[in-house]
Amino acid sequence: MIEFFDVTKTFFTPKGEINALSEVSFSVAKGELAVLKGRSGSGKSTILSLIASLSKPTKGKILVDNEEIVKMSDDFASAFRLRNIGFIFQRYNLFEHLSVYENLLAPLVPLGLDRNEVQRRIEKVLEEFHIESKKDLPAKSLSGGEQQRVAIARALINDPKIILADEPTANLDATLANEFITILQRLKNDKKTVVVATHDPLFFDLDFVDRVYEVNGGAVC
Amino acid sequence: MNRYLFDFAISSLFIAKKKNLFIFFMLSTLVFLVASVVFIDTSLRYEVVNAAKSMPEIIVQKRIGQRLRDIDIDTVYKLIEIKGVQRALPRIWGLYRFQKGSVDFAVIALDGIDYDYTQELQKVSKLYGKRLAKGIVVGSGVKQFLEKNYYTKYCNFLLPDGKVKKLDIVGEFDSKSALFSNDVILMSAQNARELFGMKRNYASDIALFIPNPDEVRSIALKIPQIDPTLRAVTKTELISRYESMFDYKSGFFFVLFLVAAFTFFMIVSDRLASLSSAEKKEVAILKAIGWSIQDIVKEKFIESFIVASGAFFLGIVLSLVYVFVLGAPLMSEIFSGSFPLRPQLEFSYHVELREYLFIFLMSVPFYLFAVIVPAWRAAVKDVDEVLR
Ligand SMILES: Nc1ncnc2c1ncn2[C@@H]1O[C@H](COP(=O)(O)OP(=O)(O)OP(=O)(O)O)[C@@H](O)[C@H]1O
Ligand SMILES: [Mg+2]
Repeated sequence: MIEFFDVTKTFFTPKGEINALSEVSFSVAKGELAVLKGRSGSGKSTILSLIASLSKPTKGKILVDNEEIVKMSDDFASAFRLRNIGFIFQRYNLFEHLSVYENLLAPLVPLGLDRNEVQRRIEKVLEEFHIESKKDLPAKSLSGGEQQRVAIARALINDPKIILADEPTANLDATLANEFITILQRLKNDKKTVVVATHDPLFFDLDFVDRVYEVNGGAVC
Repeated sequence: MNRYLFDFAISSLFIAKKKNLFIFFMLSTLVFLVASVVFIDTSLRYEVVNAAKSMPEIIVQKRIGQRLRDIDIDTVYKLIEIKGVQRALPRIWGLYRFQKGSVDFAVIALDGIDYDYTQELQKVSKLYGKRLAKGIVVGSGVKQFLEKNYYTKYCNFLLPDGKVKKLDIVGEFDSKSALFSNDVILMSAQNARELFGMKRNYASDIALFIPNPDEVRSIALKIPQIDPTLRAVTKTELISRYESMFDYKSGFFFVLFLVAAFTFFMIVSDRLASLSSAEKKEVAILKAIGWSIQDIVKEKFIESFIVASGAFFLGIVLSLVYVFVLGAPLMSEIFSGSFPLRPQLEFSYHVELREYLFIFLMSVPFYLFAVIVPAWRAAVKDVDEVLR
């Protein structure tokens, strides 16, 4: 499902070049749950944004669902992202001033769906993640756990094949972290392909994790 | 049009609420300024053109060393002999200054005879006839002024020899062309001569009526040949003189406008250079959840179009009220400053679609551009920063 072939990512900054990834190769099969572990600055987030084609590699080839995403036009990449990838961000990245409903609406807007389908999809995730009662509240007024559920609901609303989660438990207490694990398990049961970038040991010995890759100074082992 | 895109754009306005509100008021102020100048200008131009309809084609003046002198009425007989001149009419008029309030009014002599300064004045002359011999008929502006100074029935004029002449106020006249008759006092030729200390056989100038407009130029050239102290002022010159006066004034406002536009541009170019971090983040999130560049640009377009056209309408409405209801206080003073006859201007509405279009093009696209370009730039580049 996800394949990296000798992928290098170099950031060119005024202070010089930063080699975030050098010649990284790895793969995650369809329906697998992979964990990328490594300390801060090791390149985990960089890998996730390459998978989502939010940035392009300096060198190398990336296949996602057998598509060579590097060669896609920007519009095509957007459409691909819209249908196939659900992103759960570090710190949620909700539209804080907008309501829960509007946050959930955002990924549906470019699809041009009819009213009923839009409402159906929103109702469905509101119910699934127990946030119906918060529907019209601004996202910033929600508790941390509720914000996380909105973020996950937003990532899953278009029923993507691939879910990418960046430090999903970084700001959560033990209870909420466990709640996230439950959600992960459900995604796994739904045959989704999931990549979690984290340095939280909680993920390392979960029995339903298929692979753990260690990201270290731009190399993956 | 995707209805949800529209909904989302409206909600999204609140993400940078303060900035949008600020730009909204800046832009409506700018529109208000430009619209007010344009409205006043069109109104005044209309008045000039309208008044010009009843103007004589040529006014003959006597000038000795740049000074305007009274003209001998016998000159009429020489002028009427020029081929193409239909009628030559001596006119008696001048500015009279009231010491109280030091306001100038135009005094025009109106004898019930064959004197058509304008057709409207002809009507007045018919209406009041002989009563004008002992009285005056005043424009509405004069009437207001006199009432303020407790002259309701009559008015005392100071003659050049120091005596006082009392004239009854026998009537008031309203005019369609407010620009030229609001501040006019009409009286008999005899009283006017007395008021200006003019000798019996003299007039202020002579108006020539020429049926064929093609002949005006050549006739104007013949006039100094009769007498080198005579000068011909054509209607075209008169109109362009008025218009250049407005151009000067609107030029002044144009500078004012440029200053305002420049300030606005400074603020907007701040946007051009960079989006606020909240806006950058918004664009990045949108892109990460699958919006294309096109979707983002469309959304920003709707958003800024709402701000810009809202500001445009507010500016226009405020300006319409300011100019046509309130009479443009402050601004009208600058416009009327070089009008000796006009202590107060009234503006009538003669704005056409093309003026609105001009104001619209001066404000809205500019702002749209300033919002869309940075949004587009933020959307095109890699947005992975938002992830860390
Ligand atoms: N846009 C950028 N410009 C310059 N350098 C960057 C950029 N993005 C990432 N880097 C650098 O690339 C390296 C990898 O960063 P990345 O964010 O992928 O690490 P990470 O493993 O996700 O770290 P963390 O656990 O802190 O999130 C770091 O050294 C970082 O400073
Ligand atoms: Mg990271």
